[in-house]
Amino acid sequence: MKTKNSSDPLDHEIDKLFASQPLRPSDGFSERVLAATSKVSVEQESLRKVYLWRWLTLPVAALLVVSFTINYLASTKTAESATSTLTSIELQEIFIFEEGLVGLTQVQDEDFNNNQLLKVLNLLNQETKS
Amino acid sequence: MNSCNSIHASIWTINSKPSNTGIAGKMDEDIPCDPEDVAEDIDSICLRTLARGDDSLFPNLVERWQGRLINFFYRSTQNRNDAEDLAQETFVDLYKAAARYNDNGTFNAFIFTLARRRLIDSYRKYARRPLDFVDPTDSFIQRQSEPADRSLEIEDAFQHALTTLPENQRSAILLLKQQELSYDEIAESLNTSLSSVKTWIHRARTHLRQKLQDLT
Repeated sequence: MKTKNSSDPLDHEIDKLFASQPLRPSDGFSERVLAATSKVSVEQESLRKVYLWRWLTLPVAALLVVSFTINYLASTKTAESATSTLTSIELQEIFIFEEGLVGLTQVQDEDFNNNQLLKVLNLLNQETKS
Repeated sequence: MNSCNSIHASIWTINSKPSNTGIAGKMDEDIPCDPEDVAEDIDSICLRTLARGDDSLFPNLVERWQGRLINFFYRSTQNRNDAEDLAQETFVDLYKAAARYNDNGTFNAFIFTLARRRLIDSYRKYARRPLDFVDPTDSFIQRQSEPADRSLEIEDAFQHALTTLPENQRSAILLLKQQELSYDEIAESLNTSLSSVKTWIHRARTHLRQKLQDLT
């Protein structure tokens, strides 16, 4: 938007001074600008590659963690199943012992009745006193 | 004024999506259009193409804007090398920021927003007023090569008067008178209200008139 043309010669002179362009670009100016911008373009491209690598390494790292975790869990389960086998054998042994003890409890009272037991204990006591 | 249709073929060889405004909106009718609107749309197209990853049009954009940017910075810094450095940095910023450009604002406002940001950063970096940017050899060399005349004296006085302006007033009046932006575009570039822009421009003009009235 331009201002109204003023009839004042001073305003006219000032406008003329504003409109003048005393400088021309030096030789090679546009080449220097384009060289600077192409450098920026290269930097932006390398930054994009860095961001791309970050985006790739993240899921790869997650994949590695998951695979290690699965592997670890699988090996733990194998160890647990090995432990339960041994335990079952022991359980069988324990069962056999229990059966044996149950058999002992079924010994007849006539073999080990209370009177006989008392007599035996009395004899033992007298022997110790003597 | 030229018809937009004749420009259509050359512009739409570019692989870009037509918009509903600007040149595409005038495709079906033989409606005369302002060359400034055409230039604005070309710059927008270049930037949108760049945002899609195709920088083949960027050199054309640099060619179109290098003179304007360098002179804008030169009027602020009074130093050719600084002006070119700032212009180069602005182009690099533009290249990086292409993806952020949207059609809500104009290309002019977008590029000068970036330019002014660079200018203010340079002031902070050097922590000095623009007057300190003055390279006395610039005008000395010029005086050596050209015969002294009144226009040179006025040019020097004008340049000096500009550098004594506050940065906001100088930027506002440069964007209006040198770069021919609209008041709305200037407000957007300077991130301020329309009323502030008008106030700054009025004050800048008054200041310049005071400084130059004895010379003209």
